[in-house]
Amino acid sequence: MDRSRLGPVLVASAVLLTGIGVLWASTLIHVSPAYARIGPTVFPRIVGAALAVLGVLLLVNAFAGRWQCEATDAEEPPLDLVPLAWVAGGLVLNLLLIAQIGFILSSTLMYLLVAKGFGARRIWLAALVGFILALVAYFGFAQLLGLRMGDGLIEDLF
Amino acid sequence: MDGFVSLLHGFSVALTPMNLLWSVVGVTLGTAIGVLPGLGPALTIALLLPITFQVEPAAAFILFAGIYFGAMFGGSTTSILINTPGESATIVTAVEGHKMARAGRGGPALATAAIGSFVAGTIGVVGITVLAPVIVKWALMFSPADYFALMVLAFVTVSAVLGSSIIRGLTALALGLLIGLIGVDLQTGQARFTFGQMSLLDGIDVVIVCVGLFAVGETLHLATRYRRGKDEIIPIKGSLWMNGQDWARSWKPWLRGAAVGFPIGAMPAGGAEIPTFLSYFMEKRLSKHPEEFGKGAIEGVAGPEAANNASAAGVFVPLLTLGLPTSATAAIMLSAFQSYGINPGPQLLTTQPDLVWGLIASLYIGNVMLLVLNLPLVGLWVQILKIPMPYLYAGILVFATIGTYGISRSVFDLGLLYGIGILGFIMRRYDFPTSPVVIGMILGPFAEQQFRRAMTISQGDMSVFVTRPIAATLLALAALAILLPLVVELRRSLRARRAV
Amino acid sequence: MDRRQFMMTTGALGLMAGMPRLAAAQEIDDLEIFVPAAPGGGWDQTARVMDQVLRAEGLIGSSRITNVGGAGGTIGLPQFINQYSGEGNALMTGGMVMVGAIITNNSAVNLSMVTPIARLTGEYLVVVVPAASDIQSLKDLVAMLKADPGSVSWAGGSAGGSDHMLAGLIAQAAEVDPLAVSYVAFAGGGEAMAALLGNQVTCGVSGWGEFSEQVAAGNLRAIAISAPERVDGIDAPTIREQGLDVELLNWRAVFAPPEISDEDRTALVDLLTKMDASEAWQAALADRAWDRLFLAGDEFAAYLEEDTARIRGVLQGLGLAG
Repeated sequence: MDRSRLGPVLVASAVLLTGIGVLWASTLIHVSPAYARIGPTVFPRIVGAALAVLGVLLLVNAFAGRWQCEATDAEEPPLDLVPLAWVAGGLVLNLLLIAQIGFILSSTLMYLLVAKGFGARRIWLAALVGFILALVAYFGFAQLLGLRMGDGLIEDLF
Repeated sequence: MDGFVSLLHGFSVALTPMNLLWSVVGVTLGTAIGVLPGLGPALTIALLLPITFQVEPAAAFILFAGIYFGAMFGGSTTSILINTPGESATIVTAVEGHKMARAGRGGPALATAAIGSFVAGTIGVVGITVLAPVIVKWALMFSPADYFALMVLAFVTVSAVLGSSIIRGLTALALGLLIGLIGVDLQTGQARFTFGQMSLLDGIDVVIVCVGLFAVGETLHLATRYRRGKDEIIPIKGSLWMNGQDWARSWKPWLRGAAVGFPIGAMPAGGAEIPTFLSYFMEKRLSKHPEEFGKGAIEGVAGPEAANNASAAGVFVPLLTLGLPTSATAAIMLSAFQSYGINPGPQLLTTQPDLVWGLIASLYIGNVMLLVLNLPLVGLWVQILKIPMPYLYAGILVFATIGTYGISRSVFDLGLLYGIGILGFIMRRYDFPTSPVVIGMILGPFAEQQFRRAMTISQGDMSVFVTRPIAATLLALAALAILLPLVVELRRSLRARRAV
Repeated sequence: MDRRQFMMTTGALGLMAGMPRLAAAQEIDDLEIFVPAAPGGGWDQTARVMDQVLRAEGLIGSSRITNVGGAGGTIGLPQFINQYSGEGNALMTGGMVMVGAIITNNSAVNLSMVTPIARLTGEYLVVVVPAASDIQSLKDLVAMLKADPGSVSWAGGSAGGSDHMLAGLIAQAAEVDPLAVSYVAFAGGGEAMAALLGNQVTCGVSGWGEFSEQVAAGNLRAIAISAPERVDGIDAPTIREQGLDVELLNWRAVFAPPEISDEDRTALVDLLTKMDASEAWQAALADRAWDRLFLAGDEFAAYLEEDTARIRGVLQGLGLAG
C-alpha cells in the first residue's frame, strides 16, 4: 500500500475500532433496576453504532484513495519532526514534574522547550520570559483570588 | 413605561464615582480572567464572594457584572487571536474569528465582537426591563420534550460547521457525543465509560476539550510546519478598524443574534451555547457571501457574539423575576444576594426594587464600560499576533496549563488536555473538523437527558414530541432546515435541465 | 513527593515560612481548610463563611482554603486523608451527600477514616407540588403512588443524591418498590424548579431553602417536610405526622484528618464550639437561612455512623449500592 493510503486506513480503522469498543463497553454499564424508560445504555449504543458505521465508510474512502487532506497531499512537505519532539518533550516533562516541583518551575521548563522547538535562539531569554509569565499568572490570579494552585519549590517561598 | 422609571432610579443608585471605579476594576479583572481558559466568571465571582462582607450591595453587583461581561469579552479575544476559546460559548467565535485574525483582519473581528456584544447587551437590558414577565411565562412552558426538540434543531445547525467531508464531519460529531457520555449518568446514577477512574466520574470538562483540541492541537500542528514556511500569520492587513463594508455586514447579524440569544438565554435550560450555534447557522444561510464561511466571514463573528451577550442578559430574567438561577454565574450571584440576607424569589422585585434595578443598571454600566475600555485597546490586543512565534506558542501552552491545572490541581486532567491536543493534531492532519467534537459534547448530554426526562414523565409515550405544540413546531423547523436547501437544489437542477 | 515530605525538606533547608507558628492568643494560628468541592457550592460557602467568622472573632490567625472538587467529594477525600494525615490544624468540610457518593461511587476510602469534629448546619427536605395540582397532602400523593407508581413523576437533583433518597424513603415507607419510583433527575441551577413551576412534573423534592420563596409566593405548595417535628417558620406538616416513618437531614459538617492527637481533636472541637456560639456565626446562618444543627465530638461520630447505615439502606433500595 502506498504511503498516501496507509495513514487514512489507519485512522479509519481506529474510528471503526473505537465504535466496536464503545459497543462492547456499553455492555459493561451497570443497568440499575431503577425505573427509567430509556436506560443508560441506549445512547451509548447509538453512538457506538454510529462510530462503527462511519469507520466502515471512512475505510472505504481510504482504500479508494478518496481522502483529500494534508497527510495525503503530495504537494505538502513531509512532517517536520524535530520541532514536534521539542514541544512534545515540553508537555511530557511538565506532566511529570508539575506535581513535584510546582507549577511555576515546571511550566517555565515547558515554556523553554516549546520556545526552543519553535526556533527561539536566546534560550536564557525564553527561560526568563517563561518564568516571569508563570510567576505573574500565579500571583496575578491565584493569589489575588485566593485560589491555591498547589505547592512547589517557588510557591512555598511565599 | 413603569419599568423605565424604575431603571432610571436604578441608575441613580448605581451611578456614583466609587461604583464606576468598581466597574472599571470588574471589567479589567473580568477581561483578564476571560483570557485564561478555565477561569470563568462563575469561579471568579465565587472566589470574590467574601467581598460582600465589606462593601455595599450595589458596589458588589457592579463589580460582579463587570467581571461577567468582561470575562465574555476576554474569552472572545483569545478565541479570535489565538484560537483558544476561554469558554464553550465562544467556540463558534473561534471558527470564523481566528480565520479573520490569521488573514490580518483581527482588528475588525475584535471590533465587531465588542460592538456586537454592546448592542446585544443593550437590547438585553431593555428586554429585561420591558419583556421580563412575558418572556418568563413563555420560558416556563418548555417541557423536557420541547427542550429535546430544540436540541434537534440545534443538531441540524451543526451541519454548518461540518466542513468539506460529511463523513469526517459526522465522525467528529460522534466523537464529541462519545466524550459527552463519559461520567455518571444523571438519571440513573450509573458510571459510563469511566473504567474505574474516579476523575472521570464527573465527565470531562468542556473547557479541557476546547483548549486541548484548539490550542494544544494547533500548537503541535504548527510545530510540524512552521519551518516549511506554511501557515503564516499576517498580523495586520488594511485598516485596524471596521470599514464601511464591515459595518454593513455586521449590523443585521448583531440584531438577529440578539433576537435569538435573549429568549433562549431566558429559558431555564437554554444556555449560552445553543443560541451561538443557531446564530452561526442562520448567518451562514442568510449571508450574501456564504463562500467566505470557514475562511473568515465577519457575520460569523458578529452574530454569535451578539447572541452570546444577549443570552447572558437573558439569564437575568428568570433570576430576577422568579429567583431561578439558570447558569453557574447566576447561581453565584444568587449566593451574593443571600450573603446580604436577601432571599431572591418571585417577590424580589417588589421587596427589593432598589437592589434589582440597581443590578440591572449595573449590568448596563458594565456593558458600556467594557466598550469604552476595550475598543481603544483593540489595537493593543492585535499586537499579540506580532509576538515572535516561539514566545507566543510557548505562552499559549502555559496559559492552557494554568487553566486546567490551576483549578483542579489534577495531573490527570493535564494529561487529558495534552492527550486531546494530540487528537486535535491528528484530526488536523487528516482534515477532520474540530468544532463538531465540542458541539457534540455539549449538545449530546443535553439531548439525551431531556429525551429521557420526557420519556420518564410521559411513561414511554413517544407521541409527546408531536402532540405538544412547541415540540412539534421546533421539529417542523428542524425538518424545514434540512429539506429547504434540498428542495432549492432540486428546483435549480430541474430548471437547469429544462433550460437544456 | 507529597506535601508532608515536602514540608520536611523545606524545613531542613531552613525555609521556615510554611511551618506552623505557635501563638498564645489564638486557638489555632494557621488553619488549613480543605473543601472537596469546587468554589461556589454549599461546602465551599460553609468553608468561606467559617473562615470569615473564625478570623473576625480572633479564633485563628490566618487560614488557607484549598478546593479539590469532583464526584460528590470522593476525589477530594482520598487527598485529604493522604496529604493531611496527622496534621492537627486542618479541617475538611463535607456533608450527607458525600456519604451517599462514597457508597454509590464505590469509593476506596470513606468518612470512617477521618476524624469527625462537628456537624454545623443542615437542611430538611420538603416535598412540593405545583399550586395548580390536585394533590393537597402527602396522603394524596401516597395514594397516587400506590395506585400507579409510574404516574407520579418526581423532580429533584441527580440520581442517588439526597432528593432521590427522600423519594426512595417515602416509597419504601409506603410499601411501594423504590425501584418503581419515576424519578426525573435535573442538573442544578433551577431546572427542577422550572419544571415544577411549569407544571411539567407531579411533585418535587429539595431543600427548604430552594423552595421557600416560591411557596411564600403561592406558586408551589409544600406538602411535607422531612424533619422529626414541625419546624418554626415552615408551614408544612412532617412526613411522620402523615403516617410515614421517614426523616432525612441534609447536614454539613467538618472533619479533621486521620491520626491526629487527642489534644488536637479537643482543640478543634473547642474551636468550632466557640465559633458556633459566636454572634457573627449566627448572623451569617440567619442571612443564608441555614439551620443551626450543631453537634460535636463523640455525639457527632455516633450520629455519623448511624446515618451512614441508614443511607446505605436507602441506596440499596434504589438499586444504587451493592
